[in-house]
Amino acid sequence: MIRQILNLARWDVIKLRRRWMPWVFLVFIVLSSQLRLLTEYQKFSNADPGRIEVQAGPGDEEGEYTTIGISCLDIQDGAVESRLTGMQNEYRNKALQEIESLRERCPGTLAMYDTARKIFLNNAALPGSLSFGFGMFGTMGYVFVMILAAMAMGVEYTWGTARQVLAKGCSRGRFLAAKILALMAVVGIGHLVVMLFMGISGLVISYTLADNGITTDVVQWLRAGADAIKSMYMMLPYIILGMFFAILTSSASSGIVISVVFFIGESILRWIIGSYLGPDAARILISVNTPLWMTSLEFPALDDPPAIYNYMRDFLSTFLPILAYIIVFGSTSFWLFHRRDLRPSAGG
Amino acid sequence: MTTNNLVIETELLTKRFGDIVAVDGLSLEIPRGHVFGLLGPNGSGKTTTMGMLLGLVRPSAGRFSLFGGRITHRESLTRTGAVVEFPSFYPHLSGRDNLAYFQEVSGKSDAVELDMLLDKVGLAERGKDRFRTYSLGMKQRLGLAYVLLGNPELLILDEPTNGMDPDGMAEVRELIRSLGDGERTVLLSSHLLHEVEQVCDSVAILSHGRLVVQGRVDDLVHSLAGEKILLRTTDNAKAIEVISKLDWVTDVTSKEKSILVSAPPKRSTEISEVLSKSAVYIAEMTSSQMSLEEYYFNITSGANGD
Repeated sequence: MIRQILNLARWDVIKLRRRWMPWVFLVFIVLSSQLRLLTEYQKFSNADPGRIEVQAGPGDEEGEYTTIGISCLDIQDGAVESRLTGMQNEYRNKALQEIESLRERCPGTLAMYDTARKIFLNNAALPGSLSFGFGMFGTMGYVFVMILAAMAMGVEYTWGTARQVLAKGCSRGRFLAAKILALMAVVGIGHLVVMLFMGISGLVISYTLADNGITTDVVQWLRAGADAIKSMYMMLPYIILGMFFAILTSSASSGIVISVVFFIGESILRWIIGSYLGPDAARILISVNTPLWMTSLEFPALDDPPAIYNYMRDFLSTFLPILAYIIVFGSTSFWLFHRRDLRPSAGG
Repeated sequence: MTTNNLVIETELLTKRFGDIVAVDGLSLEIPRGHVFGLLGPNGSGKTTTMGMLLGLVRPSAGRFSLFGGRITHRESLTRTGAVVEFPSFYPHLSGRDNLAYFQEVSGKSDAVELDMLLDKVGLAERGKDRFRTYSLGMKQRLGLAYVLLGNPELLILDEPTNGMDPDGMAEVRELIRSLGDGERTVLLSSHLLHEVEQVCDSVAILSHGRLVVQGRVDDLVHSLAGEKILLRTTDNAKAIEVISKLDWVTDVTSKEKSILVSAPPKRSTEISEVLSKSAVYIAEMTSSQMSLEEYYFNITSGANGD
């Protein structure tokens, strides 16, 4: 039985591989994740903590005058004097007064800058860049996966191929299980590709910006691995939902449309429920749980029972709702697929 | 007929879609080695019946068994090749890959069989082309290759020559006929009555989901046609006058340039003798037989209350 499911899943991957939709989604996710990284890098590289503009000389006929930018980094690096070289004393003294005032604020400003830098490097250098890449699955990835699942299942109805598969003696359960497995494999391959590109970017950033190159901290690498598994788990309810909508409507196009409507509708519902009934009530929605699920939890020390309890509570509070979605919609999909006739479209 | 010899057996098989009764208490017996035709107008329940046999449609009532019910339904299906309604394949895969996939569904993997089947249905040259590039006739041919995967004992074919050119239709009919030789059983539905007549041994006629009649094609045609002799003579008017006087002749009618005599064909020599005594000579004498097409319209118009 397992062998047949694996064989069918292999063919389902081949069937998906030869369609354009998964490739378009993959290119979009890879480009988006790279763009997101680039944006973060731009923000970081252009940051000039506490920057002030000092007047460098007299103004022109229209009252415009040139300025010199001084930041806390200039003060920290002792580069102020060189920046003010050649200025007239009148302007230089005035500038020095302003710089002195900035110098007093700099410890706080530089501490904040340092924190921001650490956050950036955590996200952009290896292995943090890998987890950062999965963030894209947590935004557009949901809807892409739902559309992909609805398409993969729905075309079996639309093309009438489901009838021929079942008429060959394949059980409905195996057919559906293989489909879910294949979609998981495709999403897994998507993760690997994103990891590859984010890994290359992270490698470059690690060697150009990080103080100590790539970290050898095993915990950080383990966390990246755990994030990959968590991201895959987060995708499973969306695969199931996409398939459920396709089975419900017995159609690829209707399944895709309902998937998109579900995605948008949940966002609106989340806001309405959150506003009127409070954020806890909105936890019934899958889209509320998945971002929380991807939030990194600090591993507790094994000799700290209260910390372990808190960790488990936080872990289960998102794990279980996602599991509930998988079980409820998964079993409903299996039941519907078993129960429903695969009716001929017309004629006798 | 022993149950063991029956490949398909249905008993009061019924399917309702809401208020619509698609198949109504259908009882069929299809023996091994027969080419069996399922005839009926659109909406008569042919495809739904095939769907139930293949487990695609759940019966509302009644029962059916394949291969005498000795094996599970899923096992039965692995010994069956079927195309219901129209051949459905993945348009973005090649014809060969489509066959390979369905072969895998049956739990087999045999590249030699794929090549052999593509060759058999005349698609060896186009096997590597995507299914979406195939003409309607080529799609039907690939459908035939699909049903022959695994050398099945039972074939269920829904309108197998639909969309084919006349040459292709003749080839496929010949192929179906050859497939039905020996132990293999073929269940075939078709709107082309002459096709069924040429290919099938037995036939069941459905109307409004009900079985109107079932039997061997020859028997059915003869049962309604009765016994008639078609004559062309040197003097038809005189011939009618002479033949009408014979007490074993029930009816004599003029039909274009011939005379249709309701009498047993075995008494044709007596007719010839009587006519020659009256100086009327026979130019042509044949036993008249109704085609299945005539029979079908006769029987379905009766069943429809027309």
